[in-house]
Amino acid sequence: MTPLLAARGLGKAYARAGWRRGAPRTVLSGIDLAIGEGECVALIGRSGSGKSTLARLLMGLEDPDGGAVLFRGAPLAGLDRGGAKIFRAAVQMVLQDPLSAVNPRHGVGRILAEPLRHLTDLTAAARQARISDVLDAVGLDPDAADRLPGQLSGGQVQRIGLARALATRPALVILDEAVSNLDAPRQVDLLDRLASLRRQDGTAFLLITHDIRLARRFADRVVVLSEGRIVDSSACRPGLALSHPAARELLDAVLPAAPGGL
Amino acid sequence: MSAKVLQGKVLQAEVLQAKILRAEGLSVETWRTTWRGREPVPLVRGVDLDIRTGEVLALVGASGSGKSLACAALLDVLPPGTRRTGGRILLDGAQAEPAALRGRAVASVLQAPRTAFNPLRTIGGHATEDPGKPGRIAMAEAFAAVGLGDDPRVPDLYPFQMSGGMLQRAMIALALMSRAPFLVADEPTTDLDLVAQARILDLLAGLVRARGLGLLIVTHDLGVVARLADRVAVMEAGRIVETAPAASLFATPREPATRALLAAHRALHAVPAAEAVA
Repeated sequence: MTPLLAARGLGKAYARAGWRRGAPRTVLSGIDLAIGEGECVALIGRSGSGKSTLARLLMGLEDPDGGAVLFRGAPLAGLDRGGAKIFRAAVQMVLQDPLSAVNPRHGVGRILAEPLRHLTDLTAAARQARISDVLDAVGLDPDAADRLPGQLSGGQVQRIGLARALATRPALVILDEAVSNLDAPRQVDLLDRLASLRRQDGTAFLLITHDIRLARRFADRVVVLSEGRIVDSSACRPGLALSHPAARELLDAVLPAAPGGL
Repeated sequence: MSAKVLQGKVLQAEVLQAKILRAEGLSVETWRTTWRGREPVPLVRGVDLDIRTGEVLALVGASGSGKSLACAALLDVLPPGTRRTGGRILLDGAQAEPAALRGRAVASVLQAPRTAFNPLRTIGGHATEDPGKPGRIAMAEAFAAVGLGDDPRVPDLYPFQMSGGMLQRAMIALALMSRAPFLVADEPTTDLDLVAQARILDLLAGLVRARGLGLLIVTHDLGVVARLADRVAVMEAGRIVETAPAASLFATPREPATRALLAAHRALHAVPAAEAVA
């Protein structure tokens, strides 16, 4: 079966800054990753391992230097206007910092309507109905549509970002550290909501995080990224079987559940 | 009781020897404007905190419970739009002006290391305004204590050339250079990845042991509490609802707020039963 979204030998390098340009710095190399329909994959790695760069390449926000991203078998670079619109509606993303991801002068309703206006052909009334639906799905009051982002708490704005990503009924949602900044009760609440959305709609997720606890709780499969390469991967159930030193380092850094190893 | 008021020029030696920093009845409010005029909105209500040298006190609570504001009130660095409406700070039982204690008796480490530094100055430039020899020696000592001593280039680096973990170490080094007996750390590891977080927590625990620092650590992560804290104060809606030794708080939480935090914490640590997801 063709995977929903796949990376084939993906590589990316950034030029060094400054007037004396050295060799470009390689951020990603030889990335092969496939996400099936309805699958939930966690991409874990330390800061600077290339997680967010990979997310931007998968979203088509940047072009890779080598390799290709395939959306249902078709390379992203070769998509025509109509194909790109379908891709944008099918693959959505939630970013880490919620407040910088929304226009502070737009009401929540307008923020949520934006992807619907551009990526779907819903009527105005149908858009309103969809907005109420997604607000409900992320556990926010429909009245929130009239508020500005500044009038909501950080956790609420993060759920607005999630609602916006879900508005077009995407096949895949990329969560780039989207739950890392929330406190534990909110993390658990949000992950449980996402799990129930998965059961309902069969949405696939790519959860990008440095917290192996979140990955273990939510994903089917964990992929470990270290210094721009995929170094290890494992199914989450029955238990994680990771052996690469970079993966062990992340596992060992999990803080104790109780004092003194109770 | 005629409490001796410490303010302005305090005896530095006396401050460095202090054993207990106590905050009593800290209250902070903001206000909203309605058609009837200004209405006060309480944010922190009567918070008592006891920080003892050689001990780690953790202040925990959900987002928005007032943890950071209580700390800011303790240090007298409240953000604009809020004001302290009550409470006093006692250093070894003597009432003190928070502004006089800051940087002398209490040093602080903030959450986002990248915004806490001047981007146009090197780390060494932050550490010592006086480039003389005593300053350089103190700097070298502090950098060695936080694990930045091995690389001689560190003082010449600018903040953008350093990782978040290195910057947080540098901030702790700057706090140590003040030789203050108390350290307030507001979410010191929230912006770091788990590996860097574990190392910073090890460092803080080591400093508390080796130097007898009194540490107040603000966090929403009970994992941090489990790793580090001796005592825990739980905040909810601006009040401290429960204070207990860390072990007994995990074993027998009394308040609903504590139980809710613990339940979420344990849910993250437990591997959920294999859910059938089609």
